[in-house]
Amino acid sequence: MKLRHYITGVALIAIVLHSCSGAPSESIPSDSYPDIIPDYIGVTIPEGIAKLTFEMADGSKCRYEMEREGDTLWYTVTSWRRGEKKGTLYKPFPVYVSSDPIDPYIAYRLIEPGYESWHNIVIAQRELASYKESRIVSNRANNMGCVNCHTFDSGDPQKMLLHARGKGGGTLFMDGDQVRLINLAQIGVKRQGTYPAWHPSGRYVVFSSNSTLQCFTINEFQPIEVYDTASDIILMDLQTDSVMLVPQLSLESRMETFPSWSQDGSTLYVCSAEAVENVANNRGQVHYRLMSAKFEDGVFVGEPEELFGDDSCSVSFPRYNDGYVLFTHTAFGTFPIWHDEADLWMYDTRSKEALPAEILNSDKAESYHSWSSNGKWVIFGSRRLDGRYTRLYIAHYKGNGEFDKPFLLPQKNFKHNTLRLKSYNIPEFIKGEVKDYEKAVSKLFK
Amino acid sequence: MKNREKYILPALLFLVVFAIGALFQRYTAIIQGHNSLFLLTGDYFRETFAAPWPLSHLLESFFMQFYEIPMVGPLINALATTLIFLLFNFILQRIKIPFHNLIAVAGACVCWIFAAMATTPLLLYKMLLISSGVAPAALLLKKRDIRRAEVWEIAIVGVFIIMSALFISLSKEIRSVETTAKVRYATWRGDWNTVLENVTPQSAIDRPEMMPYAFLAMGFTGELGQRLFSYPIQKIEDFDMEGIQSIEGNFFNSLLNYYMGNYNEALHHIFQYSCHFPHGMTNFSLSQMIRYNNALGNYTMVRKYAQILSHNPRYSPSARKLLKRFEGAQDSIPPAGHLSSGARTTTNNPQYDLLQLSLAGINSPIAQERFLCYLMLQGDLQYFVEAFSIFQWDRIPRHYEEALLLAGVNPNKFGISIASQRLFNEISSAMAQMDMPAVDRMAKGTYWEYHFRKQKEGAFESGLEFDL
Repeated sequence: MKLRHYITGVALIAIVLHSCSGAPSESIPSDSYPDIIPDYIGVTIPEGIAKLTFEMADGSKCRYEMEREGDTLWYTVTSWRRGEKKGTLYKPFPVYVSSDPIDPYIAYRLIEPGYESWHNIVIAQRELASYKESRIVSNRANNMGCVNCHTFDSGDPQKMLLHARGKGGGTLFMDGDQVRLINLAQIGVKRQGTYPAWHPSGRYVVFSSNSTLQCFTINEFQPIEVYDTASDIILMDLQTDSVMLVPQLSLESRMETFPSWSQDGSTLYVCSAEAVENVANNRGQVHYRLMSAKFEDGVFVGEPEELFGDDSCSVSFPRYNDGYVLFTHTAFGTFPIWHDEADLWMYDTRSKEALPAEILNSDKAESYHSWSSNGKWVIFGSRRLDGRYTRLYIAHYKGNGEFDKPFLLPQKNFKHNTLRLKSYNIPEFIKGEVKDYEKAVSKLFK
Repeated sequence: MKNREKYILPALLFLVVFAIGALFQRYTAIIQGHNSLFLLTGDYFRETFAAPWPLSHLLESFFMQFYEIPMVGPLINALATTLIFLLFNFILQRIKIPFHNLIAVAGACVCWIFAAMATTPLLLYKMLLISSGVAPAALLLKKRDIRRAEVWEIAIVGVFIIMSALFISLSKEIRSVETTAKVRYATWRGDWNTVLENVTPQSAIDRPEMMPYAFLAMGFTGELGQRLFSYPIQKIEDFDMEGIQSIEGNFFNSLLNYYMGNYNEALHHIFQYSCHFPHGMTNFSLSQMIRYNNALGNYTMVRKYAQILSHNPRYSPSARKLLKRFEGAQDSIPPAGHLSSGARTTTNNPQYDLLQLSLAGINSPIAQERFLCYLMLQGDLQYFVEAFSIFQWDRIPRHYEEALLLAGVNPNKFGISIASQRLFNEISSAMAQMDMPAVDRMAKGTYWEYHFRKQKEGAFESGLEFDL
């Protein structure tokens, strides 16, 4: 008797609560998909990714039901405005689930898109199966200096490097529990390393060594142009901790940057442009070409080969996978995140042609990107949400140079993308969780 | 009344702290409110708890968001100080310390003084939290009969409070901070008369770093060409805060560029400004970014920052109004095929930047006059004459007349006043007779005084051939 009363009471409460939730009891069916943000309609996601959350673009309330049919998730969305008696029941939209596994974590830097200075910088990691984000290292460890350019040895979470700038700074090499700080400017050719690329063997790291400046436009749609006045390629042998200049990729008449290895480590891809006088005023004349250089037994052989590019465009961030090189294509210059016209293109190393990866692109900047360890997924930064704050998108690679529709990195609440005052930088896939290096790095900067 | 000191002492403390705060730190509190940030977002709490003393910072940030309302800062500080006294007193009574009133007020006053001298009143909130934490423990102790305070005790407590008040009110440093805060506030509000009342030629002798505010104000009041050299400007760097990446420099340059219509640069500086503070952002920065993005027609960013500010209890109502107002507003977008490679750019060279501003089609009278001033300060008289000729003047300001005369132009052709011509002739004559005291006396407060001094220093050539 008591149990029956209890159940009745609970049921009554549930009914009352449901009635008070505001959801209409009746909905008008619609033939169209819901206008949701982010746009997850027709995207392809990996198995086990954190739940996709979205909301109605017009701010109305919504609820949804999800049903799985084979490799397709069907989302049925009902939306309504507050106070309205009837809602709209939209046509169910599909989200496709790929059987291609994805690396369990990604790493990225969080920084204000602030121009010159910074306050809090964190190199963080995110578990893709959940919303859990944790710190790898922050700039509290190096007395609020800059931390940047993190990269992993073939996605190995135990082996990474990053730069820690500021007083007593240099390049940090992490290998399990071991952390070393090396100031590249004090060894070998005495050049600071900027953009790194870890050779698949794990023995070598190639850096570009850049002199970077920026100028600010007057009330122009693009507020900043970041440019190099000089850049060369240096090679570090981690077995001997020696650094040397790569002569054929360090020409005075040219600027070489953004090195990146092929999967077998036999080829280095770089971006190379003719050096230009007074770059700030002549920045429209800076056009980086996609180049490749052969690497054998620890040395670069032969002359670099030009693969793609002309005076109508500029190439950045080449990343090789499966016979293709994914790169960022802009009208000019070298720092594409500030260029709205920046898009992702694919260069086919066999046909020697390059085409835009249309499905990945938007009317805002698409910039830094990297492949998963199995080459089936790509992650890239895009400013399509508001034109200023970079957010991360993941896309499935179908093969033959084609991609499925990308999806925004899911958050517990979509509003997180609006409320987060930092941009995501340098997204990289990692094969496991990275330990928190804050304490170990702090000790080196005491 | 039994135990009247139970009411008199905290009331006295509250009133004095509030009065001193209202009189001597009103604008300091407003600027502190501007520079704080409190948001009900996950990132904000994560960052706060990653830093030392998270609860104190949280409490401080929560209350400081209201400091922007005039008088609220002094009120809250007075309440906090009084509460600290009450908690200290309670704890000391429980642990049977004699003269607990005296010690408690001493502790509260010390906290008050240190908080008043610090950049933020964080110490008050730290003490509040610590004493709030200890007080419940003290409750466990046996309550003892409260001894009534002697008259002499109350008198000493009163003296202590008054001495603390005097210390704060007479502190040169605190007054200096308050003046800076007042000037900053007035600059933000465009209250140029207040700026000029507080940054005078006299006060600028001790605080030359405030002169750029006066020069910006005079650009708006139309007095720049008339009164620039009444200020003790020693060098071109005194004119502005170019290249100064301090809180003051970034704040000033952000507003300066906004007022000149160089909104990208205003945004650049407000971002730099924000990076000086915890969280890399402040309430003020967010509101300014809304303002500047609105001027640029970038409504997506206006909505974003308004959305963020709507998570701040103090700003939430106005932020929500803003969101409603800009709902659906379309960003101004570049024409198809437009590239920014041809856009004018700025550097850290103010004269070059001002020229670029003009070439970019921004016709800012403030910028134009500043350009003329830079040319005078650089001693580039030939270029000054050329630039001067572009503009129209109802009446040529005094210093421009002085520069034109020094450059050797035909005074009648330019319409230079008879008074300036006469003075120039007299100075020339005195110089020819090597009567330097007379030259100094007559040239005081003129461009000539500045120019001759720089010429003596070897900084630049004069338009006149004088053997100095």
